[in-house]
Amino acid sequence: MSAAIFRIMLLRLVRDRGALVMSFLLPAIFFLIFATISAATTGQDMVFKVAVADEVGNETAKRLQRALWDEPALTPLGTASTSGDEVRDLVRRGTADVGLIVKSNTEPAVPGGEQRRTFLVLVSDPTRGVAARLLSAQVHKAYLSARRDGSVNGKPSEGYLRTADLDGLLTREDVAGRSAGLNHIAYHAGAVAVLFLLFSAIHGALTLLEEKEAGILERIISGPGSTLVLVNGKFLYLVAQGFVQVGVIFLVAWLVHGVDLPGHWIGWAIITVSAAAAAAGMALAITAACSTVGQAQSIGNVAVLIFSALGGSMVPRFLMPPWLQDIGWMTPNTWAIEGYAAIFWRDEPVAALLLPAGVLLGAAAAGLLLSQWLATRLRGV
Amino acid sequence: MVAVPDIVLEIQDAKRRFGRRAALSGISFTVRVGEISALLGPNGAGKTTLVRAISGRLPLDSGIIRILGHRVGSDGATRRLLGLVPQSIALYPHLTARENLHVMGRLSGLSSRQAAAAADDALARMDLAERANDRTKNLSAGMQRRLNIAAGTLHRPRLLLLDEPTVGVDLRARERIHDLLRQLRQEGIGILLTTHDLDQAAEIADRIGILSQGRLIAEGTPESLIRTAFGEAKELVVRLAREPDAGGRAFLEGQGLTAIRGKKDWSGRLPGGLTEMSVLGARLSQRGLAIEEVLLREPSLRGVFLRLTGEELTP
Repeated sequence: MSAAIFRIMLLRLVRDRGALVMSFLLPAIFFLIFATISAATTGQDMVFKVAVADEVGNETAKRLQRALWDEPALTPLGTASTSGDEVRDLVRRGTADVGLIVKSNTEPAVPGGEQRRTFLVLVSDPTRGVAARLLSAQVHKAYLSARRDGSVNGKPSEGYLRTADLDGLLTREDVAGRSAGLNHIAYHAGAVAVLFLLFSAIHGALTLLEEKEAGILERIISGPGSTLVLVNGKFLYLVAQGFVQVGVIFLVAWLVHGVDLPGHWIGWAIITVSAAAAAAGMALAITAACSTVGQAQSIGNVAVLIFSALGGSMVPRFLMPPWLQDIGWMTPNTWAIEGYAAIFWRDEPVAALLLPAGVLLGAAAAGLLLSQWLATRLRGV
Repeated sequence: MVAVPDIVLEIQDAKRRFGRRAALSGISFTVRVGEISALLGPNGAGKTTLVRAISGRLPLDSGIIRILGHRVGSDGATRRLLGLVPQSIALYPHLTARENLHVMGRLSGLSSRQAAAAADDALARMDLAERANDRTKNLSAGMQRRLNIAAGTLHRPRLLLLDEPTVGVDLRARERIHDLLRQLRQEGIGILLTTHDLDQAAEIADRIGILSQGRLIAEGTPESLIRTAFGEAKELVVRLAREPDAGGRAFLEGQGLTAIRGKKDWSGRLPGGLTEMSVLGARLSQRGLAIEEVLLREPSLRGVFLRLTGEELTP
């Protein structure tokens, strides 16, 4: 008897291609994605891009940099002529994970001497604190190396890092917008909001297939209504629902953590509407392409998890290897998070949202058109 | 003076194949204004395919379907003339009865005000006004069926297609639905329903079409179908104790009987009365066929269907 049930279960699985994929292929794909991200964040493969400006240009500064680049986890960005402001800009825009400015001030390096004292500014993005900490440690290491190499019989050489207390030389500067210090909260609010935006959109779009299974679709499309009415109506609803949903998350972020939502509400609204539209278009396209509620639910959830993993909703993208970061640009999560970063982190003007909002709205339009086209097939049900 | 068309639905030589299987093999059928027509047929006879073609959701390979003179599929005109009542309760269970009708009215092309008025009117006609604000999922099966029909009539269609409109309801609820359909007929709506329920068809249909394997094998009023199939004869049903062998089957068929249900039950027409029945019974016994029961009854649509298709139609 048990063998008969076993056989039924086995045949059910073997004869259902969707279930086969879900059971065996997707877990392997998931494992690969998360293992890659995990290896990148905890193992030897983590690489941070460091923007460097050498405003001193002496031998010690060069030696220090050479020592820094010995560390495989650090990749230099910038040229010999890169300025401190450009470093700040690279970090602010997320092009570099962390920045380093080698400066000198008017204080003599040796009491009574002519050489100026060299000091370092570590330019940090608060949302990428781990990169700053790693660079700081590496600077300490490089400092010791530079000091050893740069000393002759214990006497300081030209432009040496004079003090034994590196902390006095190494200052940290956070590049942040008005809500400095709260940007990591804004980041997580955006990341979590997009994740749930996608889940809610999938859940809402499933009603298309529920209506098909209940015969409601049959009734509507046999009369003066059409599948266009149905799809467009759902799209508008999902955008509105998504807007409110993200609004609640940011409202909490504002009230509990002080994220400056009122000061950025226009930019926030632009990105939120765009992200909600992209999520709605994608969810409707997935649903309209499926035959049953169960199928759409499975595929939709898997798509949301993959998008969120690659797009930075689960793990910040800067912790991922570069090739995974590049793939992330194909997800709505990345563009939405970038948009929120531009608003809350870089304090950029609304015009700077043109690209992320444009990409998200383009994805929304593509998803909507695809779902409209796919829904016409439902007439034949 | 503008002539009012008498025929609301006209199907001419409708053909449709799915791969090698012919789902519709040249069906012609009409429904008149203010008439209830029923399509009877076993599963796979072509009823659903025909309904899908009438509602414009399935193109024909050849043939023409017109609703009040408008060819189905040529423009959107036929969709405004048509109301569809699917077999399933095609309503939103979490909405109230009134909300459902309002939504369906809007989706049928009515303005919000028109939809609200149509919903209230339909609720009153369906005797659901008192439950208008109850969620649909909390209504009884019969009420849900009536609401389902109401949703198909909000935009005042001229042709109403109903797929198994009384499936799953008790006798009392079925009667109410029949009354409702008669009322719609009186309002001049042409009604075409598909059903497995022969009693229902006999009770409310003005005309009946019997489909089998994609063909319309008989058409007419219930009385004319019975008269054509049985004439003045009675319907005879012979139940055997066990299935006959090949020789026995040939003998039964020679007596004008048709096998039903596993070849233990046989049906046919019997001119005459009890005397002729006794004679036939004796003949069967002589042939070695063990008779368990013999029924002689007034012919019905069930018998017509049996004679024409060799199958019983179970609701």
